[in-house]
Amino acid sequence: MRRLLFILDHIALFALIALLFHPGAREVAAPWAFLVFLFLAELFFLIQYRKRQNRTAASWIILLIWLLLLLWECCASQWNIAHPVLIPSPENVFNVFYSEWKQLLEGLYSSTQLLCIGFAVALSLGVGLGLLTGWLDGLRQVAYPIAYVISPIPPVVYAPYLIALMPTFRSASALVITLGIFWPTYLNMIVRVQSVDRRIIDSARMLGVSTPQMVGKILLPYVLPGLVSGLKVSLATSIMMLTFAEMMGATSGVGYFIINYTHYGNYTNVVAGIILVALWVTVLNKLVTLLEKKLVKGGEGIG
Amino acid sequence: MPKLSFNQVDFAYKQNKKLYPALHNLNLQIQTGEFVCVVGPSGSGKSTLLYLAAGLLQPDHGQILLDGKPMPRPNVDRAVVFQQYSLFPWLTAQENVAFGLRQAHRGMSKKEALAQAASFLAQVEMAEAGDKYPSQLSGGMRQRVAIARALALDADILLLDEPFGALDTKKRQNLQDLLEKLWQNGAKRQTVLFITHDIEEAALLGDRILFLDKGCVCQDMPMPLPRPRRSLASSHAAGYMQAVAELKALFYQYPDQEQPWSQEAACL
Repeated sequence: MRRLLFILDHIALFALIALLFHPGAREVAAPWAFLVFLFLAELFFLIQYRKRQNRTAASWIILLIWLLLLLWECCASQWNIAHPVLIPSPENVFNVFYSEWKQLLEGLYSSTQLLCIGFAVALSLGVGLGLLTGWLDGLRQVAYPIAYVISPIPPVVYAPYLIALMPTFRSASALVITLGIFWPTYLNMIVRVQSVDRRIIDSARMLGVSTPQMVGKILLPYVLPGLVSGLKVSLATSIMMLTFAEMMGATSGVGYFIINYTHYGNYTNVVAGIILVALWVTVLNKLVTLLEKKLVKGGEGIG
Repeated sequence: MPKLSFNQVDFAYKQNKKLYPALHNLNLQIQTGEFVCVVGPSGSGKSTLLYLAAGLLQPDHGQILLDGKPMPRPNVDRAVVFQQYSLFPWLTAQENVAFGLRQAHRGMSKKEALAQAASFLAQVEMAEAGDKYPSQLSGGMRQRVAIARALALDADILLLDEPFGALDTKKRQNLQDLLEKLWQNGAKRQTVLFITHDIEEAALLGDRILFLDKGCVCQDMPMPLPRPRRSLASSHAAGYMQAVAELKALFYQYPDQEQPWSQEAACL
C-alpha cells in the first residue's frame, strides 16, 4: 500500500510537470518558478519520507497537494474553464515570487519585524505580570476581575481606533498585536500559577526561596511547557492581528501586499501573497517547535 | 530544652466558611536527635502536624517553639520530604540537589554545588542518575533524590510525610534501611519527625511512636529496641513483635475519622 502510494505520488508529479510543458488554452508565464516550487516540495517530502515513521500519512499529504495543483493547472491553464481574473494560472502565481521578489521580501521583513516586537513585548509583559499577579494574593484580587472584563474585547474591535490614536502606523500595529497576545497570556499565567502543584510550592518554600526566586526560578520553569505549547495559538492570533492591522492602513508588509493588489484586482499577486503567508506561518510554527524542544526540559508536572 | 514543642495547639482548615478541625489541644515535645514516628487513623491530623512543624501552616491557637523560640517562617533549617512529586520537574536529579545546596549555602558557586550534589546522590545510591529528570526516574528513585536534597541542606530537623507510602514493599524496605543508616551515620544527629500509616515502618524506625487520634496525641510509646531493627523484624524478635502488636491493637481501637469529629479524643 505504502509503495503503491509512493508510485502514485510520482505519477501525479510527472503528470503535472508534463502538463506544464504542454501548451494550454490560456497564455501563461514561463513555468520555471512553479517548477522550482515543485522541486522544493518534492525534496521536502523525500526528506520527511526518509526520516518520518508515518510514511503513509506523508505520502497521502503530498498526493493531495499534487492532485490539487493538477486540478488547478487543468482548470486554469490547460482548459481555461476557471475565471481568468479570479483564478489565475499557477505558473503566473509562482512567477510572482520571481518577478516581485524584492517587494515580497521587503513586506516579509517588515511584517516579521512588527510581529517580533509585538510578540516579545506581549509575552514578556504577559508572563512577568501574570506570574506576579498569580502569586501575590492581594494583587490578584484586584487585577483579575479587571482583566476578566477587559480581556474578552476582541482587539479587531478597537484596532481602527488605536490606528487613529497612535502617532505612527507601525506603533499602532505593534500595540494591536501586543494587546491581542497580552490578555490571553496574562490570564493564562494567573490560572496556571493557581494550579501549580502545592507540593512543588511547599518544597520551594522549605528551601527558603524569596518572592523573585519563586517567580523566576520556580513558577516560570513550572509553567514554561504550557506557555510554549500555547505559543502556536498565540502566534496564529498575532499573525491574524498583524495582517488585519496591515490591511487597515499600512504601506508595507505581507498584509499590505495582499490588500493593495486586491484593490487593483491583481489576484495573481493576491494568491501569491496568500501562499507566502502560509509558508511564512509554517516556518514560524517550525521555529516555535524547535524553541519548545530547546526550552522544555523534563516534562510537565512530574516531580 | 526540647528541640521542638507544641503547646496546646489548635488548627482547623477553613473551607466555604466552615471549619474542619485537624488538631485540637495538641501537646508534644521532641528532643534533639530523636527519631519520632507519628501514626494514626486517616483524618487524625498527622500531616497537619508536620506542616505546622515545617512552618507551612500557622496554628489557630497555642504555641509551637523551635529551640524554645517561636517557630520562624519555613527555611532550610527544616528539611521536608513529601510523599511524592516534590522534586522540581525541570531540573535533573543533580540540579535538584544542587538547588537545595545553593539555597542553604548562599554564595556557593553552581559548579561547586553540582559537585557536592553528586556526592549526596552517591550516598543514596543514585550516582548514575544525576543527569536524569524526575520524569525519567521511578517512584523509589525520586524519593532517593528527595532524601539526598533534604540531607544536602544539613538541616537540624528532618520532616518526612509518608515518604515511602507510594512504593512497593521491596523499595520501601530498601529506603527505610537507607534512611536509618544515613540518620545514624550523619555528622550531626538530626531530629526526625516521620509521618506514616504503616505500623511496622514506625516500629522499625522510631525512637518514639506517637499515636494521633482526632487531632491530639493519645499514646506516646518509647521504642527502646537496638538498631538496626531489620533483623528483629525478619526474625520475629519478641520485643519487636510485641510493639507491633500493641500498635495494631491501637489501630483497631481508633477507627478512621470523618470530619467533623463527633466527640473529642482522650488526649495525653
